[in-house]
Amino acid sequence: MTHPMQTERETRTREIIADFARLNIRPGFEGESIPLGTAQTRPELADLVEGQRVVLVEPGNLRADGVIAIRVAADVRYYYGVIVGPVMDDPAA
Amino acid sequence: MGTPIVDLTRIDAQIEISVRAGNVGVPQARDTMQTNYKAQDTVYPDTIGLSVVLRPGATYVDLAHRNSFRHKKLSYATIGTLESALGKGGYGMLLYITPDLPLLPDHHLLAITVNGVVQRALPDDAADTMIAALSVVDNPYPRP
Repeated sequence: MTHPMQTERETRTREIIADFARLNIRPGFEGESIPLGTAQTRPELADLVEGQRVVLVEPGNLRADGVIAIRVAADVRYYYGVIVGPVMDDPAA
Repeated sequence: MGTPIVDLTRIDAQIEISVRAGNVGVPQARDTMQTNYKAQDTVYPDTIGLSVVLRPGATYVDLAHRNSFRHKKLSYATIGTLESALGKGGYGMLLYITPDLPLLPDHHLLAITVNGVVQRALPDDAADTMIAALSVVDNPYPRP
């Protein structure tokens, strides 16, 4: 149940811009995934956590429910969106 | 060793086709391209750029068949068209060879350069130039 003080923004699943042209099967991921980048180049990713539910969207093209996966290489955190629902047309199209 | 790049001086720029999956004709295209330009991954951490597919001698239809896209639309141009359009604004381009198996064997990343230096962000006018240069067509082989 939504707490009365929660804003609409807090209760909505966060949308993350993703490039569905990079949707692929990658080792170690449970499902097809899309690389999202690092917080160094995309600061808006910094507060995402492993397993967080999001909506991955390529505006005007495609969207899908996803969860965040994080991989660390050379001390840099790389964020991925793992698809957990059907890939659909984005309604803005 | 760094990620290899395509030697653009050794290929026929009027024949090679570069395809970006998805419709760049939508109003949000510039913002989306600028965000996705920065989507680095662990496999090619020294790269940055827009996702494209490219294979010598292949048409966009061939590329759509060999690679797997969910998009209903594709956007494409010849390398020569893109180089020429970007060059008018003082930009160059560089193509990193970044095959992404199993679904994207012809995958590359297209980075924008200024005086040979790769830009870490996609400038507004470079994005707009690319959008104007790309033709949008139906994807002949959309993956279900």
